Amino acid sequence: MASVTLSGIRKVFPNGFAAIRGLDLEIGDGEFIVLVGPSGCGKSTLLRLIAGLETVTDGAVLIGERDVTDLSPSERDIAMVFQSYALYPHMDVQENLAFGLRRRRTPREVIGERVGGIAGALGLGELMARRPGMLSGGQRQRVAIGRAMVRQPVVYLMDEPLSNLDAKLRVSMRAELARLHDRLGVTTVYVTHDQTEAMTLGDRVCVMLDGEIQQVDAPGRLYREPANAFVAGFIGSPAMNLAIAEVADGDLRLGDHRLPLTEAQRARVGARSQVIAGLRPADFALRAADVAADDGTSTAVRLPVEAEVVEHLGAEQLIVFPVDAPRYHAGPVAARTEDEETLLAEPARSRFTARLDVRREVRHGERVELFYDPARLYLFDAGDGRSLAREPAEAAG
Amino acid sequence: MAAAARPVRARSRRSPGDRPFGLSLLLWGGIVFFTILSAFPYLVMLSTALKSPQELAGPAHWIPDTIDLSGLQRTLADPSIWGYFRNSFTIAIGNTILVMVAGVPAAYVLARHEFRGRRLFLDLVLITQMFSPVVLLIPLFRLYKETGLLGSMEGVIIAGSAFTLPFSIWLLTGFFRSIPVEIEEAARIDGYGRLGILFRMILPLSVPGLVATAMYAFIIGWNEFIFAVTFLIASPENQPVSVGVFASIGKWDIDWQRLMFMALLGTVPVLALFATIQRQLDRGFATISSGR
Amino acid sequence: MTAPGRTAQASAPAVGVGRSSDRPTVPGSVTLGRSPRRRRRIETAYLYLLPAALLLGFVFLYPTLQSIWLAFQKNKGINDPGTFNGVDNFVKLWNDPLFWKITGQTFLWTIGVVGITTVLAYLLAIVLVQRFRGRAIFRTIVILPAATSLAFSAVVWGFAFQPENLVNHTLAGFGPAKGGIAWLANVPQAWVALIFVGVCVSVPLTGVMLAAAMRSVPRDLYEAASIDGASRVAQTVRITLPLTRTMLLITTLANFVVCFNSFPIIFVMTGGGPVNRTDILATWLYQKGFQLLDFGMASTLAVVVLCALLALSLAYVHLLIHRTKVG
Ligand SMILES: Nc1ncnc2c1ncn2[C@@H]1O[C@H](COP(=O)(O)OP(=O)(O)OP(=O)(O)O)[C@@H](O)[C@H]1O
Ligand SMILES: [Mg+2]
Repeated sequence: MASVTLSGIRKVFPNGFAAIRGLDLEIGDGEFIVLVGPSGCGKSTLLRLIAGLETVTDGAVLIGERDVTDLSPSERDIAMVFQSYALYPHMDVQENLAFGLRRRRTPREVIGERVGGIAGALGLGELMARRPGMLSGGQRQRVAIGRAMVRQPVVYLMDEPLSNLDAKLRVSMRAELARLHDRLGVTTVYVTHDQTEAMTLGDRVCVMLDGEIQQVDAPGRLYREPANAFVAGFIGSPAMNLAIAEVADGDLRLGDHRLPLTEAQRARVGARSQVIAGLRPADFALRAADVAADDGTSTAVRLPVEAEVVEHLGAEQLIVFPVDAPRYHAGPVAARTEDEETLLAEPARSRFTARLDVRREVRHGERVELFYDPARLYLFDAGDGRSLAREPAEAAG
Repeated sequence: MAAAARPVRARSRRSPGDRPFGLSLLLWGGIVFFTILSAFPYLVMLSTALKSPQELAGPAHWIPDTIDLSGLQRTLADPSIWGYFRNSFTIAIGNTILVMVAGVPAAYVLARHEFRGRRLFLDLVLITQMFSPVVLLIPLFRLYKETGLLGSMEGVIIAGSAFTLPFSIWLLTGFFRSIPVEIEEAARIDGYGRLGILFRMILPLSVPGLVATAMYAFIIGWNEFIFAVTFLIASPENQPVSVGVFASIGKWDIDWQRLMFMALLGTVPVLALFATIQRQLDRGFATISSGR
Repeated sequence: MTAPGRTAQASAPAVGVGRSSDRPTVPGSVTLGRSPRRRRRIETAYLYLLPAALLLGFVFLYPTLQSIWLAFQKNKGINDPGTFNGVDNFVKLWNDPLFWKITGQTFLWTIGVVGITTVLAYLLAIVLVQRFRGRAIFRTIVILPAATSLAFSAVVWGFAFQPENLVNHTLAGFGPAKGGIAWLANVPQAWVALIFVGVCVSVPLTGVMLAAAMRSVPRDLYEAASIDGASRVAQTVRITLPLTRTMLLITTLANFVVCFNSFPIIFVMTGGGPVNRTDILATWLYQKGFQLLDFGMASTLAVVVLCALLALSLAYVHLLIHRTKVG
């Protein structure tokens, strides 16, 4: 087992495309780190660089104390789970699992023992004589994971290993992976598109954009204290509401709404005339009392809105309301096109989403009053998107 | 007929007979026409081989009055026939081995790796397609004379396999490409080097393609004619069947019966092979048209 | 072998967590990334190509160079050391009326065979993609000539084309008194016979290749077209033809080259006779080299043939690419 250190990594593909643009990351021994980011941001590329399947253009990769930058994948002592499984089609499950061990001249009994153990743990027992072509998607997935497990490498690399599974199987495999990691404690780098996976599995989550790291933090911290507007908008579902607000008399003006600032926030805003304001959908409530902010530091802010769209989800409801302020865009185009709502929205207007309980059902077109805790307002620099919460609050005050 | 140019699978749910009468007529006209065109030489071979010499000397007709197998007896009784067949077989096998040994590694790197000179190599291979064996006969003749390859089957094999190689490389490249890269990458992570991957992943997975290519090389080698007729003219003991058949028409008194039997025996084995690899060749062709 | 010399990397920036955008790159640092391993990988690539390169070099490259060298020599056969005579051979060839006549015959032959083959093969391909009873057998029968040695085909066809033989016998069954044509002894008839055989041996493979192309046309295109009300003829012209064009170009070019170079059919059936009137450049070259033993002239001819083919092919490809871009 070992840590993984990436220092000054750059990857320029032969066609001139810079997929990783200078990246430093230290992954602790035994840590489970999850890479997330919009499609095409370089997650797979980074994983492949760690694996040695691609050579870095610049920078160094260390596994443990060892500089492996110039070593081949086999010399790095890693195991990888591919998104497409990449099982060997001409070998049965038993041979697939044993293949990597055979190469390493592991004694026959040890191979049998380990393969048997892993097969038992993953419920592959009666499948051992089948070839991948005769397995279901979930079974193939388990073989792919099993193939990595038997190797007992110092690092696991997993590229969206659960993405081809149905929702139910994904949940159980996720739990299985978490258990395995707890038991074996092997350093794991895990790529996913699934927020739940990222938040539940990761000791830390690394958010990437266009080949650069935006933030690396524990899931909770990433959610509570996003380093910039991109991370804020990327982590959390539904996504954080972000819009450009004008600073007026120490408060914010967001279209027709006035958003009061706390003292601390005012200090951080400083002399800026514009900031990006962010509010999480879940931080809205229909009653002032439901906004948990009664420690005296702030009082709930009232926001009268018109529910343009209402989605009833059973235990909760989402309402979408217009806000007369410019949208904030972060990230590449690909990240923005994910919901068509954003495509349709005119840039001068934003649509906010609130996630509310169902004690009172809101109807389409209804005017309602929402409440939120001003301390939960996120503020980002309108120029580079950096979080103002990270600035020393004392600077101005 | 042109009106019916749709892929078969596009009509899988309809029954075979489901087309207008006019089109059916055209279709069957086409089927009969092409069948006759293709089968004609074999019908000639059969018709001639089975007639007695007296019948052959008389007016031409298709169906033999009496089936006469004396030609076959004479063919099999002639010891030199076995030599011809042995030589054809040797040349075909030699061609296959050389083509595979040179073609498999080349096709593998061409399919999988980007490196300087790849384009150049491909272009050069393409240019060799402009060559006819005839164009190279004189320099090869001189070269073989110097190196002692003249009159030997090795010389024929070397020249023949070089002409078989380009198409084989191209076929193999297509088959290798159809193997997902991830499987190779997984093997690399599992600790295998290039040769290990070639022998444990690529080759086992491309067995159908390898077999097809080998058979193709075998057929070409079996049918070898120009190099054999030129380089082996003075070494009858090394001549293959094709040259044997050709040489016997130069004689005064041609035993057509025997000749046709030889041609039949010299053709049927490769026809069987060819019918086997049809599907693989088809797959190869489909990849060109899809522009890969 | 652990961690080979990468100490030069010590200057790498301090490892840390967080953003590291816009990090200026040291100009030389890109070459640092081109590790020895990478270079070694490239070299093994060449190693894999080596057997093929040796074989092709031995059979194509060296002899081509020899041919070019011989083309500028007076050289009468294998034991003649040869004397350099500049461009004399080329001049002689240029002034030889027979050369021009045979060049004309070569084009007659090539264009005749390729043209007819392309049309017939397209029709064959259309038949091949249909569904009908006995299709598997039909496919097998039709492909047979592609697997047959050209030498055998030529011998058998040559036999059948003899005046008192099966071709005339069969024709007599169709028309009144067609028998008795001396196919291979007189000129226009000999060309008809030769081109016929040339077409017969090239149609199968061409047809199969075109059929493969037709089969790879996505079926939904036809469905879309038939919803748009296109008849089957219209579908063929507007969908099948354009989408199989690449293959059509490939097969036409390949057939052109093969026919231009074709040897066994003419060599076996007529030997170029009567008096060179069915010769093409390839058979004439063989005659010059191995019957007249004029290695010098034959090599000159070989060089001319090669250059002509290269030029024609390039022109053809260029023309088509150009046309495709315009169209
Ligand atoms: N071999 C290559 N040559 C050139 N560009 C490449 C190559 N491989 C990947 N890229 C580009 O590099 C970028 C990052 O690709 P990568 O596969 O790492 O994305 P990703 O973050 O894994 O995306 P996804 O979530 O869709 O899997 C993409 O823009 C991709 O187009
Ligand atoms: Mg990816």
